[in-house]
Amino acid sequence: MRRVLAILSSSIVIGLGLTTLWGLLPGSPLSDFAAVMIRLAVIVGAVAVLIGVLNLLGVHLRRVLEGEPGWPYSIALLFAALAVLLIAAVEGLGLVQGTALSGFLFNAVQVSVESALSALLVFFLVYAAARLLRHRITWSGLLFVVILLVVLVGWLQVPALGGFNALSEWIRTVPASAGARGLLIGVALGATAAGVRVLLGQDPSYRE
Amino acid sequence: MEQAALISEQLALLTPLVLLLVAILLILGAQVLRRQRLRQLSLRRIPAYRAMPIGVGEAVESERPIHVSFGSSGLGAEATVSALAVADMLYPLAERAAISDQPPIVSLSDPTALPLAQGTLRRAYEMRQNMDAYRSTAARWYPQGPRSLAFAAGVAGALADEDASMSVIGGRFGPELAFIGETATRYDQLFFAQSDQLDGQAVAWVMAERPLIGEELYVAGAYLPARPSALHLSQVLTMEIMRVLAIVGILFFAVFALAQRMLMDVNFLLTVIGGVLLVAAVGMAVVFAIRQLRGRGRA
Repeated sequence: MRRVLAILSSSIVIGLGLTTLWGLLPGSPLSDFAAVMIRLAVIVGAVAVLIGVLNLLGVHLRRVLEGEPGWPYSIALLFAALAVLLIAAVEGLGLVQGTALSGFLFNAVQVSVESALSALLVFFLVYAAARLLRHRITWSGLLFVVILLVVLVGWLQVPALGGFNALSEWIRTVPASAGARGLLIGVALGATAAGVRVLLGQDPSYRE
Repeated sequence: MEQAALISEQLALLTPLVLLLVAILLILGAQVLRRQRLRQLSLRRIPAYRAMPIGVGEAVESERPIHVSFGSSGLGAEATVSALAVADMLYPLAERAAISDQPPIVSLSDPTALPLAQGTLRRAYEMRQNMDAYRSTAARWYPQGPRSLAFAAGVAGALADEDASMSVIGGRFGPELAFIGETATRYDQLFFAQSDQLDGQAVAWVMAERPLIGEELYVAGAYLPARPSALHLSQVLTMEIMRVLAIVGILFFAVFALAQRMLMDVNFLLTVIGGVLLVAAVGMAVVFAIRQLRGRGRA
């Protein structure tokens, strides 16, 4: 029975996948069908957020009940989540007129916290670059640090460093751009091969 | 503008041809590998995939969890294939870790990846017949916020709290990956990272002990399991063939464009010849210097 269900679900998934792919091609008669399928995926995504919220609450509730390390933070998270849900529900039902407290809370807390984290990120990255040479002295590591210095110095708008400016510009537009394109082509090839493998329906996950 | 749209439309028509070519290569490769029993191919060495099973073994022995992150990869959007590739990587790692009482920690910020992560973990525990140790909450959704920084900071905190032994990051990440990498370094955890975004990949290369570069994420199914399937091995072969085709195509068009311009402009022709000679001279000088240095080292 389980095997029959696996074959049936695989057939539905692969059939719909191939049909949607066909519908996405220019001038395809199945374009309306593809649009419906994509809209369906968006709806499933929205439902998934609800599942995600339940998962988040479940994980932190378990942490509190089992007294795992950092459980006080989980209590704070649970209270904050429930409070914001309550506020959003009150606003959504129109019980309070003329206020957007959930939006204000988001901007006051989440955006501020993320801005602070952005600022911290710079120091983390500089420290990581410095540590790279301490732990891993390789030719590629040396090249990385030299180019980093050239590019940083090249950004200084000092007339005496005109040569560095030109070199920095050349590094960014020629070798760095070529390397980036190479990486992206590699990722695209990998994604194409893996995607087609999944669409072929012979993936081990389909059989279990 | 109209011409650009026309070219874009014509290129879009190439998509089914490319997909068909990849499908044929995959099927043919898998059939050849199955018939000739060539499953033990000598694959290109990827240090990260050699070190990962050892890392899981150490985690099991020390009764510490491993951490695998999907980043913001999820199903139904651009990052669908990278989410599936991370699941491919998670399965063999979770299968090895499933003999321990410590379930792996799986973090993700796109909720559509949650069922994928839970399903992959469940399959691994079923394979090991250790469903008592499986917990659906081992896969955790962290809301990502506008720039995924809150997600990364949350995961970094969880890694520190739960004393993970190893962290494997793959899929869609930006520079926020640095938070997780920094925690891994500070708490002496093995750290493997990859991203399908350029800025994330750059940070992964700097921070990870053994980074995965670009397409290496997609071949985890051929490297990590003890007995990889013929289709996974065939995928590696297909990718190599496609890579060679892409390189030959790029070189062909570059040489064609260069030749066309050289025939029209004599000065450009002389500049190109001069440039080639200069590069050859510098290359020979570097090779000579390295040989001299090596010779002195041996003496």
